Amino acid sequence: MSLLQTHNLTIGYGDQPLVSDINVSLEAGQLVGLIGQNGVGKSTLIRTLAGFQRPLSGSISLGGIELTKLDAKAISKKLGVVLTEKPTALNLSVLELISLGRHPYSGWLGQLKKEDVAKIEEAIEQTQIHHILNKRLFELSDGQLQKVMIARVLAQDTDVILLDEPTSHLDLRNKIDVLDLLKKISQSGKAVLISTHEISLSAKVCDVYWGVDFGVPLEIGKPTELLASGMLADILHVKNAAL
Amino acid sequence: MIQQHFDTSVKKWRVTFIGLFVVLCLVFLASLAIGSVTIPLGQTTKFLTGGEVENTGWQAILINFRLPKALTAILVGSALGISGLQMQTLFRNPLAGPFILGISSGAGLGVALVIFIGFAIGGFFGIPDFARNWLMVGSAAVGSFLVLSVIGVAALRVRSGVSLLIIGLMFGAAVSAIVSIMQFFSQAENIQAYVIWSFGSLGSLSWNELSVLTPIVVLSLIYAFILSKQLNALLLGETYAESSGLNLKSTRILIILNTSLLAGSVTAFCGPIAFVGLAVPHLARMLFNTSNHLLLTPLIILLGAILMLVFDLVAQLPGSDATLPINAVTSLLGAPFVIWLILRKNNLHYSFEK
Repeated sequence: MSLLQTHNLTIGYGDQPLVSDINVSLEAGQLVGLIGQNGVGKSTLIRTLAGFQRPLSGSISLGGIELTKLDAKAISKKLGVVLTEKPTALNLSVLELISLGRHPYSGWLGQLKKEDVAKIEEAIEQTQIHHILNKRLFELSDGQLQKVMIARVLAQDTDVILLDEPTSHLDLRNKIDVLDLLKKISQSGKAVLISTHEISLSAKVCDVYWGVDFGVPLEIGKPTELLASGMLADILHVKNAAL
Repeated sequence: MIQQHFDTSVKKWRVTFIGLFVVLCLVFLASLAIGSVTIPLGQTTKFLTGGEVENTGWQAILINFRLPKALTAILVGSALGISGLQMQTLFRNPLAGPFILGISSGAGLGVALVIFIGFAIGGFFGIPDFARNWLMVGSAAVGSFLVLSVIGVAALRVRSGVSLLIIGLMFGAAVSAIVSIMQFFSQAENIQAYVIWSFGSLGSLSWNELSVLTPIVVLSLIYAFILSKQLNALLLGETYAESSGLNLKSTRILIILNTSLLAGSVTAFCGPIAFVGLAVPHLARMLFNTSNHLLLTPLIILLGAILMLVFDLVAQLPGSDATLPINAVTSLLGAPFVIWLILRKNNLHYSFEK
């Protein structure tokens, strides 16, 4: 089932298109890897899909509805994000941060109903962060913080989750943990899109790669196929690199 | 499991709130009893509970001076504290305060215009005190409202909070410059009147004026509490807040409107009272270790009121006839306290980034 679709989407800033004519679909149960060099437009694509910036042309439909017709609240119930930026107030406790994930659903003062508490517990269970609930964000390691941010977006209870470089700054152990976690989340029926430079690890978990390169159409395929055909090396401009 | 966490924290906070409320009552009582003339506590409580005070002089002091001033202090401390909190959260900047967007500069311009032009036309000092007071209050309110309307238009146009902050600062600077030019070309008597206004004052409010200020501040404080959910979402940063379903632009306008009602009305009646708005939110976050606005809002209302009453007590120089300008006392006592707290905690983790 397609949860998010683009039609001839062109993204970029002002009158400078970064990537043109994107026709992709995010399916329920899929973990998609967005692969490409720095500056190629991965973050811009994520920001555009999330509705933070307008497409230059073309359209996006979220759950069958045109994205521009949805307001922030309606989008927030269907699509959640984890960005590279940290939250501003780092003295929030982990539990407070995850509770903020219920913002679209909670009462007019932010009161949590039974269902909200249940969703928060579920998110904590899935990310296995029981032991740090009372810690403040500034006390967390990068790996812990990433899991907490993922728990927050899980609590937001959206069908689509977009993550911008969720494995950067993490050590190998934590990279594997986070990718495994995202795999499990996608298998629970959500559509998960991650941008990543972590080819060898993400190739094992991603169902599909979207390869982005300067000035050419998006390349879509299974990670193994893109790797075997040398297409991925092309996209990343590492074909003749001596290692 | 989680429910337990929430339940224990409710119990913990209930104790804190009751404690602060008791302290507020005690300080309030002290501020009624202590001043150039000391009135026995027993008589003060009798007065508050509606009984007859033995000494008619005391009765007059309490009803005409000390009670309105203590109530003003409570309103001012709460209003400025909350508007400082809102600005710090909105702009994610620990240095923001109620006047960051130029509210006090706007009020200052209004007052300066009335004083200087009034003098030029003649007769500003000739009109009755009562009329002059209202003229100054009105002009301060119009001045800050005009500055804020410009900021409001800007808030609709710019996307980032930081740009808005800089626009506010620039505007405030330009407005202050106009006041400087007016001061440069006017006589000593006018300048003195303006400078005295800029010292701030809690004691000049009549019951009449209080009956205007009180409903504005109380309603705005209630609305500030209602804004807690939006302010909490802003703690995530603007992008995350938007992706949590927050309408950034309308939220921004509502917060600015709320802050301008709080800080603008207080400044109109009491002058630009410094420091409290900047420091009380920091004190509350440090002392109570939370950044949840549902807690911070009532905490700051109580803490701001308590501190303002204490500052005013000190400004009275109990036992003497002289009083200090309230602005000097707030900064002189408040600044070392904040510095001490920061040194003790050794960082600013409590509020913003590392």
